[in-house]
Amino acid sequence: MALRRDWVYENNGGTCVAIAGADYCVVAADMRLSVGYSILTRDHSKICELADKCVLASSGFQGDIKALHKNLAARHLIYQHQHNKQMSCPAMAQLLSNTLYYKRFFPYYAFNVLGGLDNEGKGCVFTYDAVGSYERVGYSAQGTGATLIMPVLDNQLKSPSPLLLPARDAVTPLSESEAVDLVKDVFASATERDIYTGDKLEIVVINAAATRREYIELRKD
Amino acid sequence: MDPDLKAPISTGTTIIGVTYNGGVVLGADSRTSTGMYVANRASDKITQLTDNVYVCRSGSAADSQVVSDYVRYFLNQHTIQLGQPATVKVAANLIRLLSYQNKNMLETGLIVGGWDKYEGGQIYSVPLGGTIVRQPFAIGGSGSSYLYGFFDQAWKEGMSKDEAEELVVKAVSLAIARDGASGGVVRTVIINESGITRNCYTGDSLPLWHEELEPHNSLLDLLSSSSPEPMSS
Repeated sequence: MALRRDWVYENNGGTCVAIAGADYCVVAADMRLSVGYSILTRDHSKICELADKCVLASSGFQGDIKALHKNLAARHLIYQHQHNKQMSCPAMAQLLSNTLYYKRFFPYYAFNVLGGLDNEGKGCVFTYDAVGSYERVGYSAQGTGATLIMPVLDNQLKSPSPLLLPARDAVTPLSESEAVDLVKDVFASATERDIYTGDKLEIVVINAAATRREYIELRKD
Repeated sequence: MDPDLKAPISTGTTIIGVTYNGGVVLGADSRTSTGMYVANRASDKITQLTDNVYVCRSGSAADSQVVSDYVRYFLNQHTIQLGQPATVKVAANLIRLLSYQNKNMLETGLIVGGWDKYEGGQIYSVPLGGTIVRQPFAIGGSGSSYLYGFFDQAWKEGMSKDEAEELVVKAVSLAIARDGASGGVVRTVIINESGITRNCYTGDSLPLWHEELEPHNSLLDLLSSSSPEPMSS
């Protein structure tokens, strides 16, 4: 196998999760930034509040992620100037998809989950691949610990079957505090089994009243 | 686990389109995979283009979503300008134009199906290079490899709506049994003069094939029913 000299990406690791409820949305991500077997910092946020009711969490190559978040925040500012209002979560979801697909042949190495409230105040979560394919779902996990966390969420969230459509009704019947507790539990478990996940957990909860932030310590080994 | 960027989410898939006496039946599985991980076990690969035309998507999820979005947009304009519903042939050709003109960059195989008042039910296949071919039935996706012989034997002209849907459901479930990249539920969309019907067939309603297990609610049921034999070499 010849040595490849054009690999410009790096995976900084980490895991992101978002869960949509009837009138809230929980977006969470760990705060570890890694390169190979080293930890660069235990205090790096993967979460970006793009709009009032719209929060993006991304894992992957943090260089591309910083650029992506900056790009979207700038586009949102322009939208606010032109429309005199904030972007809704579904609108931002489409913008993110278009932004990712724009670089279809030199992708952003970013695995995204977008969470917030839709125009009716219901929780919504959108999940993406690196080149912009997206879908509205009731919950999702992306990043190095995603394969460890998704099956647990499938089992514990008691969401209506994802097999039935439309997707806007796939929100979990759990309460906000139950969902937040579940997020803490899945991250604790993912931290045990994924070397790239750990240190600290940042949880952002969006509901009609406000957007609040919580930090939980995770294992640092 | 380092995801290979050159392998974006792909609908390793089974998709089918079948004409019958009065319309068409489109069918697909619901598994979306990235390599060996099932990114979505409940996806909807049958996408609406207009009231009377739908498309089954396979290949790269992003590419097929973007092509569908563009064609839906063009058809919307076309319908306004034409003053009546777009024909299935126009929809299929728009898909074909995008697929052929961007063949070097796209990786998506599509099956367009619908009903219009001029030609009735029609199925058009638009595979990887951007060929367009009208067929009485079409199959696509990684799971279709297992269905060529099946259709040679089971397909017949002039089926009823129920016969056609039964054929589609049986075919997708056969492909799911053999193709690792296909799975989940069987979704069907029936399009005819009266409108659209969407159906979803979950695992417990599908027939079992050679050597498959009965569906269980949980593997724990197996444990409580009988204790497993100790291993011996």
